[in-house]
Amino acid sequence: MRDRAVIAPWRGLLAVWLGLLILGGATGCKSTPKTSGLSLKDLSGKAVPISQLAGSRGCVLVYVAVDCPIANRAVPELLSLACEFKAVGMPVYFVHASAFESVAEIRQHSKEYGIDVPVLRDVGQGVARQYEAHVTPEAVALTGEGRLIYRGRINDQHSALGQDRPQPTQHDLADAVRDYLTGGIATGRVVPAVGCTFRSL
Amino acid sequence: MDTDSHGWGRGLVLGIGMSLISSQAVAAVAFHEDVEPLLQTHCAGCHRPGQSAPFSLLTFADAAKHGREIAYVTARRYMPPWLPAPQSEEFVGERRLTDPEIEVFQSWVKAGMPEGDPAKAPKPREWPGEWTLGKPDLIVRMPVAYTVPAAGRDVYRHFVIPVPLEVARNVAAWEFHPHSRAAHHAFLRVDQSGEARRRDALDSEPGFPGMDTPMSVRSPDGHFASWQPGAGVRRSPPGLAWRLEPGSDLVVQTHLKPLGKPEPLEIEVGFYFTDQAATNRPVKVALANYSIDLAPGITNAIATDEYRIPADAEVLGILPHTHYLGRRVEAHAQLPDGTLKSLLLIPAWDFNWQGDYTYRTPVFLPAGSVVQMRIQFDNSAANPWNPSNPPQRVRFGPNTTDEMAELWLQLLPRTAEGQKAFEKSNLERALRDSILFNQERLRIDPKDGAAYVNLGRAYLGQRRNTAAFQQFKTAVEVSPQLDEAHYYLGIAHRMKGENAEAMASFRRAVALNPGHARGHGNLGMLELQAGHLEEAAVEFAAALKLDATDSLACASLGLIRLQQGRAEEARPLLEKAAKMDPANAEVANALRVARERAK
Repeated sequence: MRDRAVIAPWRGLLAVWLGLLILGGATGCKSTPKTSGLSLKDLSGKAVPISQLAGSRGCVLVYVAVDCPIANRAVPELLSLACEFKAVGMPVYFVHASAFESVAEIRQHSKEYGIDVPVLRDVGQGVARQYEAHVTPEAVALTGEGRLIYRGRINDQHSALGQDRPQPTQHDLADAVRDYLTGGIATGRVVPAVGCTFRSL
Repeated sequence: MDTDSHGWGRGLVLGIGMSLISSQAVAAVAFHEDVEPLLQTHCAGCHRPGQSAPFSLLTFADAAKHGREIAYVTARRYMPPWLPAPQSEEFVGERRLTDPEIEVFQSWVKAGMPEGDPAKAPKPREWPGEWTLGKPDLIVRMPVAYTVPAAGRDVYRHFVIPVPLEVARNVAAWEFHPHSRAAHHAFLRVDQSGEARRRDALDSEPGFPGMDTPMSVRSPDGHFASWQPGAGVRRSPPGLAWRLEPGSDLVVQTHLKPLGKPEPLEIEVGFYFTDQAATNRPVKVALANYSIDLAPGITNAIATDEYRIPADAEVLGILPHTHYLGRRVEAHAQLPDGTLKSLLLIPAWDFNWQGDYTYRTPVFLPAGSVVQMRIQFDNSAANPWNPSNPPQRVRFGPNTTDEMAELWLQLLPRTAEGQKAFEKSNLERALRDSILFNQERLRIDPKDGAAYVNLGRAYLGQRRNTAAFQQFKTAVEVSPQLDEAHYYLGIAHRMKGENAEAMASFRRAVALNPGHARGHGNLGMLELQAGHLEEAAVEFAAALKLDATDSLACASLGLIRLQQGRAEEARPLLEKAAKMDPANAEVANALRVARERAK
């Protein structure tokens, strides 16, 4: 954990720096020349360009997995946030990125957990690579213009694999998105997520 | 640990390009050849369908999907879960990977998790059927399934399971099946008083909440009876089967973790009986500290207690208990010759994986040895288990936001005199602990009537009758609706010879709780003393109806009926009383008379 804490500020800075220099604040939920090729797939296999995902204020992608206990425990909190954010123009999407999960397993999982938000797949993990997501559960919150609002954990229940409190004491995703919705500033804050790794960084 | 995770993190940062290079350096490591045998031996007991773990680790796809987590949790020694550090006194069922085994997972992930040659896979392991030892002699299950909520904090709940037995049986082994991945650990206890049932009935949900187990709910005689995922079947040591009495309720205290969806929990317990009754009885001893008071941010607070072994004995097992702020647990025995023997060291306590440990070879402690408990607490924000952020002041208490420091020993005295010496010292300590514990309860809630009652009972045990009387009086003042408060005040009055006051107190107790058998029994005795035979008979009959095992009420009612010239009614009562209390000469005489007259 210590090494992650050290890396975290660097990652945050990098994200902001990339946002300013390379991406020019123009990638993400809306189409831009550089990322117009990025897309997720819905469960019928149809490509959904990420430009089509934003509501009036942006969108939140949450990486999840069918059998990650940490991601699954966060599902109720995510569904309640999805409800809250959708109402203010910030839809939440669940995204599966593991090559080892079939569409049938994902459908079964969504049914079992009562997931009533759109469920997408990041086949090839292109979007995860773009936004540096690598574990479940991990959220990527983007403005409509594609700036990073927040990337990282949902809450602080788990501080490492096998280290969990009886209940979370901080709700980082909710706080970050609410701050953005109130203040309108996408800080690009990054809080390392703890969970099941679906790709190497 | 930090170095391990650091190395792993770096591997991840370097990514796929690096893994090509390292796969040449550690080309030998592959799934079927190297990883699968380890998973089969150390992981798949729980990580397979139908078991407690959240995902399976049987196939290449299973392992590759979770490979990075496997490397991380094995290097941290979080998996397989086993808290005690290695020591010379080994435990049954130790689950530990060797350093080279841990390295296999590291190398495999660094090499890009190659599958290897399926032809070189180990033979699939044969798993036991549903029950490890075959069909149990008795299977009991929760009468109604409980639903673990999808969200919210961890749940602690007692579930009450009736045991349908006609006669007492000796339990040689038992196996616990929660049929749910939400169950994280459990303690099996027994209640013969009906108190657990009563609490269960207080709300509509199955079971009753909390960490505060009723006094009448006890772990099986001399045993710990804990369960955690992977525990499998629990066997009583040879000659030490425990008795399961008819009319008992099983009370399972369970720690449940919400899974993100509503989860049904339907606990089953399978029992294997033996005709061989116990030839010996282990004693349990508790070391405990009730004066825990942790300032926010404190990292080095230590709770200690010690126990002087009163007679030669073997230690069979050990059970540590603390909550989320406990970090390091140590138990030593200082032998009379001064040598120090480590009984248990848990360098990184984990509340989720608590349980009891049985020594592979019982540890002999000569009389005069002193067992020392030392539990270190960390109430700083850096403790990842801390339930409060920012940290709060935490004191002793039964809830998970309170703290506890306990260490239980299961001991087998070498001689019958030794057994008596343990029982005597245990009683003294139980009274001491009850006083300390209930004083803490009263500090938390000065209006806790039950705590005053318990305190008074402990004082009675110490023959401090005046102090006891005061506690019962206060109990009645703060909890006028508490039947036990009036009952014990009645007992105290009776001891002082204040029969009128005693009578009034017992009347109040049975008015509040008509099911108070001992209240009726005491009223019977007082009425009898006053010469009111018929009034006494009514009370004894009520007591007997509520508790058929009350031999005193049974004998008294029989004697009254005989005296009233109702020998036909007296005979069956006296027969039953003689059976329950064969040494009672008065009953035996009366029975003879009753039989003659009834002819």
